[in-house]
Amino acid sequence: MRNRIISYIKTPISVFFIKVGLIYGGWEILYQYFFLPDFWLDTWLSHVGVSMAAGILSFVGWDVESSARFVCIVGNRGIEVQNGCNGLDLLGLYAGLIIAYPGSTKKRIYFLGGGLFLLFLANVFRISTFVLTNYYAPQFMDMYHEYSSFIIFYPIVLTLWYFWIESGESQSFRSGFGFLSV
Amino acid sequence: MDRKRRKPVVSFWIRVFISLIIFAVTYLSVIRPIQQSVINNSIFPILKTYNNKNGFEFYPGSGDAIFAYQPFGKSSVKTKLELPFNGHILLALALFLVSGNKRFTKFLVFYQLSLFLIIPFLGCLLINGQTWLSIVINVHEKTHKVVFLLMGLLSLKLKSDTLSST
Repeated sequence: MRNRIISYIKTPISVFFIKVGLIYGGWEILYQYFFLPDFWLDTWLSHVGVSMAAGILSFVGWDVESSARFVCIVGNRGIEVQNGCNGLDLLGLYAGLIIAYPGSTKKRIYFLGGGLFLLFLANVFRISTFVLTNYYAPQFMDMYHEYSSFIIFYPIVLTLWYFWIESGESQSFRSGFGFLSV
Repeated sequence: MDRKRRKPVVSFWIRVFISLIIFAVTYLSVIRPIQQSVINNSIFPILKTYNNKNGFEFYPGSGDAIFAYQPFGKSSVKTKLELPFNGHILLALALFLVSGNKRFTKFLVFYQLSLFLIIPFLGCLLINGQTWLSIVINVHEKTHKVVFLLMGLLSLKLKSDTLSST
């Protein structure tokens, strides 16, 4: 009995569940007790996202001004990037699966670094499009704000996850999954 | 892979793509507004008027969730209470359905139905002082989404592999 339990715990799927629990548990403790009290990580991400979006829009030719969480095209109402809108939650969600799912370390580093950077850039792009929507089509701003993450973030996350699963050790992983058989 | 083998795989991925578009349109135009209405008009007003002794503040999230926030400086706690069958889970369900994984579709539906009892129960305990449950609820909220989505993606991959090998 003991050996059966140990061999079950050692299967890739059990290891994955344990790792997922530990990663998100660890992240949650870090977030609640170190990042949340003064929101420093959220604040930093929001400020960097805003300043990069303002930089890109200026580079492309718009007359933009920004300060801390606020960014706007000169003469227009500004938009504020609040803590819930900086993509931190999604970055954590993305990274958790990449870390937990079996695969080679080298590829994992690429997927983690590249994926997080890509998602951060996607958020900068999203902030830039908020500024432009607010300027050119303010009547659609609420709707765009509501649905932009579905259009911009989720296709990227799902595609990267799929490629990670494809390149990972899914053969050994799936061997523990009788119920997954189609 | 020769053309005969490639054809069913390509048509499978086209089906996946179309299903995901149908899912996105249905979710964003019908299901999400209903969930938001339930949150904003039914659940949030009740929580707002609830006189909790532990100083919790409630505010609705952008979609299918309510945040319970206990602002006590260093020990502040933010908990996300989500409706079952939220967007991520429905996306996983769409992936199971399109890959024809009936067994796991059933499991997901039963799991989510059980959350209709579990989440309110844990939420009650939380706002009545069991603040340590915040971590349990938040970890579960992230973990179960990732696990179901992973299973959805694996189902797709398995189906695609099966089609390409037959």
